[in-house]
Amino acid sequence: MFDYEDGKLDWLAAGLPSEGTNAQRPRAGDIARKDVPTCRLDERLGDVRDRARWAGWDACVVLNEERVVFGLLRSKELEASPDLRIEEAMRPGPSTFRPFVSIEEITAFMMEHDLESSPITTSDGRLVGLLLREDAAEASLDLHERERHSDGGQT
Amino acid sequence: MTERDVAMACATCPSSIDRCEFCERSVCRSPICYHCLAEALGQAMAHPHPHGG
Repeated sequence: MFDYEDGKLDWLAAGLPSEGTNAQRPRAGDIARKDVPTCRLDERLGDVRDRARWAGWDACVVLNEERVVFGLLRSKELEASPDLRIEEAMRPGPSTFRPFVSIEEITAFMMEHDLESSPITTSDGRLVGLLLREDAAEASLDLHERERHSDGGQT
Repeated sequence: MTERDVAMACATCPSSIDRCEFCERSVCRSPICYHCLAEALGQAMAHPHPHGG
């Protein structure tokens, strides 16, 4: 027997495997985009913006050497002066969410608060990916449809 | 008076907050504090009753 001393929530937050009915439902960490562009604090905003846009993104996550999230550049921050350093332009210490959070719950929050993206991190702050509102909404709708069909349309 | 001077109350509990913990805005229709958000998303569990229920 092995005791994971940091607890069940920390186990799930690290993206480690789980079992049971709820383990089959999509979670924020499953839907978050792992290919989100990242940058360092000392980079120049113009360079980061060009790199992000070239890859088709309107957001970039600011990380340190250990992939801990320090800040976030959403579309508004990316529009600032290209000569700014990232640490001057970013939103510092953005709210982050754990990978095990239910996709339905976080989608409802993102819709209600009109938030375009949310960083998903492990409990020690390391980046898992960026959850986009449209991806979250689509996954939530898929889940709803799947469950409606498996109930035989009785909802 | 700026937006940041306006204190808000969490929509779920009586806590006074200066920004919504979810959207990070100081003007929000349904602001929520850190603790209520963590509980709502299952990132934390509510403290048990102090007297053990």
